[in-house]
Formats: sequence, structure tokens, C-alpha cells
Amino acid sequence: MSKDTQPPYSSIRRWLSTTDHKDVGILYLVTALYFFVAAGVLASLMRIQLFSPDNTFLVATAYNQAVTVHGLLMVLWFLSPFAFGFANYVVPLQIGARDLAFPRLNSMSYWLYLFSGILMLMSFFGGSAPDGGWTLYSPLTSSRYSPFLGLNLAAGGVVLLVVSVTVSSVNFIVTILHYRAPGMKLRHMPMFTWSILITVFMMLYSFPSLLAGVLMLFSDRALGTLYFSSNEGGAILWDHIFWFFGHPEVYIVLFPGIGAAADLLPAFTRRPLFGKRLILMSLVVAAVVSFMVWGHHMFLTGLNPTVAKLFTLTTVAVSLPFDVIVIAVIHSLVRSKLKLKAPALFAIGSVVLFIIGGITGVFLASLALDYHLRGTYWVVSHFHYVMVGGSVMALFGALYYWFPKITGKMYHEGLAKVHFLVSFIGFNLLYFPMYLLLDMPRRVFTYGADTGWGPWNSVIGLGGMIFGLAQLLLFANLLRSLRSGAPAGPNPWNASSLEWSTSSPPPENSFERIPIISSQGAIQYANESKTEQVSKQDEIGKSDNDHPRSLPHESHLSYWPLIMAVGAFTSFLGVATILPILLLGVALVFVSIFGYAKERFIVHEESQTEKWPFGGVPKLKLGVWAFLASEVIFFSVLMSAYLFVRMNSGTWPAVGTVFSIDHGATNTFILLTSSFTAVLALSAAKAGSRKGVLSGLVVTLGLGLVFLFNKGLEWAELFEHGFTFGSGLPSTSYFITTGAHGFHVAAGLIILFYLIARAARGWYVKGDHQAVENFGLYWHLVDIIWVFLFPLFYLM
Amino acid sequence: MGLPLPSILSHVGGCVSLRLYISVFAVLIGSTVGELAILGLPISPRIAIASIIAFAGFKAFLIALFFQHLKDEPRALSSLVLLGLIGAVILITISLVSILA
Repeated sequence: MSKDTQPPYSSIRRWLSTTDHKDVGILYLVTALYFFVAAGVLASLMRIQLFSPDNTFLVATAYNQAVTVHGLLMVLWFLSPFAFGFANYVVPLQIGARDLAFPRLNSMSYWLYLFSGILMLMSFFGGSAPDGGWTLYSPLTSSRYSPFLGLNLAAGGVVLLVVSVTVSSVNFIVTILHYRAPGMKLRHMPMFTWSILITVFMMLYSFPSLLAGVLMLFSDRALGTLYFSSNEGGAILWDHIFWFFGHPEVYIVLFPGIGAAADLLPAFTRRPLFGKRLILMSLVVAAVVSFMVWGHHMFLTGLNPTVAKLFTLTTVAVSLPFDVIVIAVIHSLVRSKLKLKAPALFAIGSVVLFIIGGITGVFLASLALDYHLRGTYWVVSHFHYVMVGGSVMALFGALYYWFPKITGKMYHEGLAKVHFLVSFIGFNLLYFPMYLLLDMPRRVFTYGADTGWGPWNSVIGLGGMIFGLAQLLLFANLLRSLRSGAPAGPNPWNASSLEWSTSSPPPENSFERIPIISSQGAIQYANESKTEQVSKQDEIGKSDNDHPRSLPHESHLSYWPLIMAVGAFTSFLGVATILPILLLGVALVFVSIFGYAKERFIVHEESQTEKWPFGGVPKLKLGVWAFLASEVIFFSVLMSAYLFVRMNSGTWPAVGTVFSIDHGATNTFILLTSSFTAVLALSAAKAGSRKGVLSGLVVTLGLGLVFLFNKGLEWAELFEHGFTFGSGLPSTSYFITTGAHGFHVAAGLIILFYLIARAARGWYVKGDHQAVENFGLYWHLVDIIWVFLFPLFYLM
Repeated sequence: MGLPLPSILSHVGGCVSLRLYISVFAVLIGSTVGELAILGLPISPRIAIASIIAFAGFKAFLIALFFQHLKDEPRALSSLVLLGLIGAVILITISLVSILA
């Protein structure tokens, strides 16, 4: 299905099948802006309702749905994807790469993102969209309080989104750490690329927590398990799981904005960013500490006092790196010859608003103050100043900054400045009065005239209207400029990073010649033939470095990512609705996996790229390891939930009374043996023994099947004795945790079938054993997980 | 190794790595037997649980080091997984401690 020649921009075929990072970036940007508008409309409904006291514009349930979906769309479907639109377009250019490491996976990430958003919006047609807040707090999201299909659809949307994010994170990690132009050390990377690298690591470690939480929530709703509907788990368990993801998520949406602002400001101040290394260190420190502050969202939940104090300390600590960043940025501006173009205005505006949002957030670190402020409009204002003021404003600056690169046209400067001014005024009218409403609860759909909140809410409504209408200026400007903007040229800002060294828009392969970076960071160009080889890759086991050839074109088109995403979408729709749809979706996924694997997809592979600190590690292997790191978090959350409910439970079945030690031990021996045979298969592949590879893989497959069979027997016996999903927390945690593990075993077996089919045809024994090795890495992790599940469920 | 090998083993190259893999596998099986044996020992439940978890950690360590070959990989690759592990330990520890009175 792939063709080497790209159709023109006007062709629908191009947009449905493109794998070019630049096209995918544009798709992300446009889709994210669509969700921005959708979420903005929902926000308008809320503000109209709250405009005056005792208003009846929306009933309570409609208001709750509007506020919930507004939050979900803005945080998950607009902010990060908008930033990743730029990341898709700009990061490969900034590091001198032709594309992302896995172009088809990149395309699949986009389609999964789009369809996840469609599932989320479809929830409005499923009786009721989610209405328990963007945090999906339990028990508001339980079947008891939210029995509608809509929440199941939304949960499916979130799961699809997490898959998209994980695939995308792995792709960016491999790209940035494996595809930097010759000579481009990490220290040479522009700030935006750095911010994306740090962000994708945070995504990799935080989103699995959301995935595990939503899967548990879904199992509670669909299978009747008791994670969040029991006293032993309940709201507190959800809080831990959600906020372990939720707080890093704040920085995930913020960092790309900081990176973009730090990247674009030097172009307008005409001098380098002050303290780049200091800013980078601060971002890294903030990223690490962000995983240790989630408890400050739970101060009112009866948290252990010592733990609460610890979270106070970490929350104050996490604000310090941001102080350093802000001071460094301000220092960069002082006495500079600043040109106040629109991107610079937005960047500076974002810093100002972020300072306000940051300072007001520090108050929430205090236990005493948090007691009064939590759940009021103070908090609403604080996080909007950070996430909209700090992030969106900076990203709007980035939009103006990179618009000429993306389109080859200049935007209208005057209109852009008006956009900034009206947005800035509207934003502050919208959100600043909320700080003054610190006695108004944030989760009410109406209020009485006697509260005195009416006037401020009217001002807020007016500000919201101004801020919303201001965005029409943005769209008008972009559309007008796209049609009749002045030609931009390759570098309208006289900026120094690599993306400005190529034409606007860049050619199909981004650079005419491979850029080389000198030790001082200067850009040179190589004689292409000396530094490039062409390889067919992006498929398991198809690293063809040993088959150099002279194919002049590289593939940029494939429909399989789209078909795979449609299959995944249909499957999740089926899970939430009826079995035939599920079966159709699963069939589509299988067909697309087959088509994806069989497709001839050619990408260029430069041989001299900078790979530190992963030199010598093949790109697919690095990707697999990154994925496995996220799997560690996913299973740890499930185990954490198990330990949490068990510690909270007064009684628990004694060892050997419910879960058969014989079954558990047998499966442990089976899986350990299968790990052994998997590693033998790899060893045989390295030794060039076709028979050895084949027998190793076949025995591994057999052992995997026996494992699943034994697990099935065990489940059947438990069901027979009335021990089902909802029998109690022991059964809830057992079935879901071992079920998730069993799903991973089954996925491994599917890969094994594929490997065996290829091994039978003589693959993997001519130095091309990477696929066997990568499968082994996955399989051994599945084994390691079981090594812990066995004692947890059977021996303790 | 001087012993007749099953067909799956006879095709495996590198006698040293084969011997290593067999040794690691034997230790893994032995450790699992050890875990099971602890259940029958007259020791306090806390010590039993700690020992069993220690065995599990040891087994995971062996698999990662020798079957996933982390011992031969750049340290950065181990760090990638280690970071995930640290995150997991933080989540598990704090969420459990948070519910202690």
C-alpha cells in the first residue's frame, strides 16, 4: 500500500496515509485546535450558566458534563497534542533527522489520538458524558452514580489515548537519542527539543498509572470488581493512582511551552539564552520531583500526617527549579535589544502569567492554607494561570514563530499583536477574579444572589467571552496568511537552530544534505553519498544494515497505521457496546498487523548519527526497553492497588485456601522455563542455527500456551467455587492483575507465531537476530512480573 | 559440556553462555523451590514474607541481568528501567504508608 511519491497537499490520500513527520505534525496541530474549540465551547456553556445567580441555562447534570469533558479535552486532547504537533514538525528538524525513528508508528499515534478523542466525544451520545470532573473521582464514576454507557466510551477513549501517548513517547525517545545529526551532542540540542525529551520521559513513567487506573475503573463498571466501590480501596486508592499520573501531567503540558519560549526568545533578544544549562537542570529536577508531590492533592483525605508533611516539603521543593527558570528567562530579557514581535509577546506574556500561577500554587503546599483553599475557585484560577497562561500562551507564541517554517508564509503581525493583547486582557479578566472568589466552591452549578459572587462571576463571564473571541483573530490570521501571506524565506527570524537552515516549508526529506554540527555548534553540510546508507526497517526483524542497496526514495505513505487505529477504535467501541463490533475491531487489528508487517516500507538510515548515551544499542531495542520501562509502572500500579486494598482489609484468605499453590508454582516453573528457552533461541540465532532458533521458539510458544491453559483451568475452578470478579477484594485484585498479565502472555504468543513463521523460512540466523532478542526482552519482563505475582497472590 | 544435550540445546552456540544460561535457570528453579520451602518453615510470617519477597527480587535481578543481558548493556539502558522501578517503589511505599494511622 505504500508508494514512494507523495501526493500533493490537496490530496486526501496524502493526509490519510502520510507518515512524514511534518504532515503528521500538521495533523496534530489542526486536530488539537479542533479539540481546543470544542472544549472552549463547553467552557462557554459553563460560564453562561454561572454568569448570574440562580441561572437556569444548564441543569446540574448538563453543567457537570460540560465541566468534566471541558477539562478532559483541554488537558488530554488539546494541550499535550498541540505541543506534540510542534514536536512532530520541529524536533526532527532541530536535530537534523529526516523523520522520526518509526514513521509508521508516529502516524499510528496520531490516528489513535484522533479516534480516542472521537470516543470521548461520542460519550455525549451514550446517555451521559462523564460528569464526575476531569479527575474522574471515584465513587462518582462508579456504576452506582454514573450508570451510563457514556463513561465506558470515555474510558475507552482514555485507554486509546494512553496507547497513543506511549507509542509516541517511545518514538521521540529513540529519535532524539538515536538520530541526532553528526556532531550534535546533547548540549547542542535546542531548548524545545530538550523540553520534549524530558516531557516524553515523564509521559513514559506517568501515563501507565492512568492506564492502570482507568482499566481498574472500567473493570469495576463492566465486570463488577470492587477496587473503587469498596471502603478498602475506594476514593483514596483512586486518588493515589490518578495523582501519581496527574501531577507530572501538569509539567507534561507545561514543559513544551517553556521549551518553546526559551527557544524563540533568543531570536528576538538577539542574544543567547542566559543559563541554558541551569534551566535544563531545573527542568530535570522538576520532572523528577514531580513524581513525589502528588499527595498535596490529597491533604483533605485524612492522609497520614507524616506523609502529608513530606508532601508539603516536596511541593515547596518543586517550585524552586521554576524560580530558577523564571529568573534565567528574565535575565535573558534585561537590557536586551528585544524585538516585540508576536511570538516574543506571547512568550513574555506566558512568563508573566506563569509567575502569578506559580506563586499562588505555593500557597497550596501549606497544609493549613490548603484546608481553606482546596475546592475553591482559588485552585481553578491557579491551575489555569499555569496551564493556560504558562503553557497555551507560550504555545501560541510557538505557533506564530514556526508558522512561517510550516507554511512558507508570514502571518499578519498587526493582527497577531491584537490577538495577544485581547487574549491577555481577556485571560486576566477571566481568571484573576477567581482568586478573589476564594470562598466560592468550584464544583457548584449555581449559586444564590445572597452569596455576593454574582458580580465577579459576571466579570469572569465577560473575560471568558473576550478570551474566546480573541481566538477568532488567531484563526482568521492563520487562514488569511496561509492564502495570501508574504513569502517567509528559510529564516525570517535570523534564528540559529537547525530547522531554520532548510527551506520553508522544508523539502520532502527535510534537508537537501545531511547537516553536520561542529564542536562549537556551527552547521555544515556533508557530501550525502559518504554519510548515508539506505535501509529497509521499521519492521520487527528487518534491520537490513547487511543489505545495502541504492533505493533513491523513502516511503512516506502507509494506510496501515490508519487501519490499525480504526481497528483499535472499533474494538473499544465494541467493548463498551456489543460483541459483534468488538469482533469486527479485533479482526481489523489482526489484518492491519499482518499488512503492517508485510508492507515494504523504506526509510533512510544515516550511519553517522549521534547516539550517546545509547551508542551500540539498536534503535528498535532501545524502543523496546523504553516500552518495558512503562510496563514496569503499569504492573506496579496494579500491584500497588493489590497491596493497598489488602493492607486496608481486616481479613484476607489464608495461604493456599483460595488460590492454589500448585497452580501458581506450576505456572512459575513453566514461565521460568519458557524464559530459558527464549534465551536459548536467541543464542542459537547468534550461532546461526536455524533448527536451534526454531526449536527454541516453538518450545517457548508451547510453554506459553500451557501457561495460559493452566491459568484458564485455575480461573474456571475459582468460578466454579463461586469465586468471581466481584466476590471480594481478593478476587478483584487477583483476576484483574493476573488477567492483565495473561493478556501480556497472549500478546507475546502472537509475536511468537510471527517469529516462528519467519524462522521457518530461514530468518534470524544471518546476523539479523534483533527480532528474537527484542521479543526475548518482552518475554523476560512478562516472566519477571510473574515472579512477583506468584508470591503476592499465592504465598503471602 | 561432555553430556548429551537435548536437541534444543545442541544447536545453541557459545559453550560459555550456554553454561551460564543453564546455571541461571537452575538458580531460578532452585529459588522458586526455596520460596515454596519457606512456607513450611517454623518462622514468623513477617520473616517468611520478607524472605519470599527477597527471593522474588533476586530472581527478577537474575533474569534482567543474564536473560535480558542488562549486564552487557550501556548503563543508560539499565537506568531507563531503574527509573521506572524507582517510580514504582515510590508509589507503592507512599500509598501504603499514607494509610497507616
